[in-house]
Amino acid sequence: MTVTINRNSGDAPREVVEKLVTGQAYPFQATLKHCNTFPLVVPSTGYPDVIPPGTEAQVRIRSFAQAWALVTDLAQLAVTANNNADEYAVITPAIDTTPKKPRKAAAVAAEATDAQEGV
Amino acid sequence: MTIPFSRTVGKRSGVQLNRISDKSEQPNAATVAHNMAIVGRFGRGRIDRVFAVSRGREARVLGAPQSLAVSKLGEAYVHIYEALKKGTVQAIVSRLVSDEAKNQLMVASNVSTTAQGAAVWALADADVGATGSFLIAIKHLECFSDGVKAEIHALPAVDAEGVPVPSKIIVLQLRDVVTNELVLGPYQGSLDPAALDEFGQSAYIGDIVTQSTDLLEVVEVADNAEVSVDCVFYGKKDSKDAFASATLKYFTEGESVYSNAEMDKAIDRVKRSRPSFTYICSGGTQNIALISRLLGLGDAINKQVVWDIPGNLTPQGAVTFYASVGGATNSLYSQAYWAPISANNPTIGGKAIMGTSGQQIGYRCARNAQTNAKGIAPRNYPIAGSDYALDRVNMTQVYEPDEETELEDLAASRINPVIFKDYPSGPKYAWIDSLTGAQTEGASKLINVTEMATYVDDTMAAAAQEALQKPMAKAIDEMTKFAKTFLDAIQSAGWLQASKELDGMSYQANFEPNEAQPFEKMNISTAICYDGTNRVTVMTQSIVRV
Repeated sequence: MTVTINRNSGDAPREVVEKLVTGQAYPFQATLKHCNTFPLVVPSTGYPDVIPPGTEAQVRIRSFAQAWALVTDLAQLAVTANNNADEYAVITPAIDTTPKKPRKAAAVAAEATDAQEGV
Repeated sequence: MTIPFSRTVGKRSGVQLNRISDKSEQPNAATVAHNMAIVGRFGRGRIDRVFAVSRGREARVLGAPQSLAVSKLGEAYVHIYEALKKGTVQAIVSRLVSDEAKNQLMVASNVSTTAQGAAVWALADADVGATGSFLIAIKHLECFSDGVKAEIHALPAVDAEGVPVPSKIIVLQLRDVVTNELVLGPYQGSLDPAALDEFGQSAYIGDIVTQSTDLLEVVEVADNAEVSVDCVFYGKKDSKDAFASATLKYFTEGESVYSNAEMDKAIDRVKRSRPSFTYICSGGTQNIALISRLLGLGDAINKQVVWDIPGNLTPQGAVTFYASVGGATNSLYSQAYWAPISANNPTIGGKAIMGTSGQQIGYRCARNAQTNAKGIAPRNYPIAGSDYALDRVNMTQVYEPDEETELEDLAASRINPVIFKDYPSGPKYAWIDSLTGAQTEGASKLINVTEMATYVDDTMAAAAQEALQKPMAKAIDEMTKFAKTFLDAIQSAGWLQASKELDGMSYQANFEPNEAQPFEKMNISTAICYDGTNRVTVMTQSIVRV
């Protein structure tokens, strides 16, 4: 699921990293967006090019360790840039594995069942 | 023999001879200049403080190298290997380890030959300690992730009639699980804390181990412990000493991902390091949080930090990465290298793009060892240019930077490229520049000036430490004498040049009591003009008429 990273994320990265990788199968694609004043290069993305602020970069996350490095690196970059934004960086996996609300999920399932019956 | 004197004479008549007073000592100009510090993840090494690795001992002390295809964390091993190969005497290593790491006790028990399925060796949680009927609990502080082969043997004992009786004398030893070589021991001692040897010294196994090594601890010996005659490791078996041996995975490293707090702890261990070191090596880490911390440490303790920008980045990427790291990158202690070169991994094979900071430091340490008669090394020569080649096998340059744009950008950002150059003396992959991170056009932007200046500071500070707690006039006199000898020595070594600001001299040094606190504070100020580095040569040929 989508995670946001700020300057404090490096102090306890596990929660953020687990949120990011839960339900995903390695390797998985994700988009990274940041609001640093200047462009960034973050080696842990595995993406060697410059990422300008506000633009989405495609990153490929191969392991828990890489996801961890990504979160801690971005948190450190926020610290270095003295950036206090709550959403300094946003990482969104290509496949959203966020658990849906049970009632809504049941309704969606029911609709799908009806449609199948109609067919 | 008649002794014509006494050490003390009071009212009686006699000669009082005082002890010889040696006042010839002067502070030493040679500080430790051949060690480097490094922080990294390794399979072995103590986690409570730093430890030293010397050449040829890498596998024993650090464990097996790790392929860079498996983890980038394996690159630190390459840097240590290359630094030691090129001239670094000791790598002072701070092992990165997570807070979840657990070092368990290895517990040996008395197991009879008739006991079915019972094991001599077992593991116990260090917080709880050994429980039940056991003989001895030991703790190995080198924390081998691959485990260790623990061995115990009890020497046979007999009573007055020659009948075997239970023994209190044991032998402990640890073997490498890979090579089966002894890593610690053998240590022979008694399970009885009151036991003495023939010289009246303690023969207790805990004392024997403590006197021999600080890498193994005897944590606990059971009360009245003794090895029974029918124990599996008592006496001899097939005419050989009977040992009970077991491979124990006593250390759990936890995940190889680290929080800020865990990195801070690793950095703090470097800061409290004994022995000392001159350089800090990044070990090729791409971890921004770790690079930032290493740079901050260098700034705090007056040590140069030699670090790598990932070689797979383009020059534009390298410049952006350098700016992203920020912080202490703009200090003279920060010295960054970008090497877009793929080569064979010298420790485990496979081809990879690796940093060059370890090898760069190795060359620097080798240079620092070449001191002249006055103890001064040629630090005025940077490790760059045609005299030094990157020493790796199967090298390929993966990016060809444009000379007039990209190399200019790298220099403007204070990044030193390591690329192929065709020198008249021979082609080589070379460090083609020697810039520090100092955002100045002054001399401190040059690595050789920084090398000399930090050395002078370290040496003078060490001499000043010797002068602490001495009478003020005496301290000033000692420092003045030392500074003259020392600064004259570096001048004769070609480190300095004349300065108009110093009236044609190359240095000035003043030592005086502080005006506000003249009884307890001494002020030392030095002004030094160093020789620089020829980075840019401008040449013009004019063809003239006949």
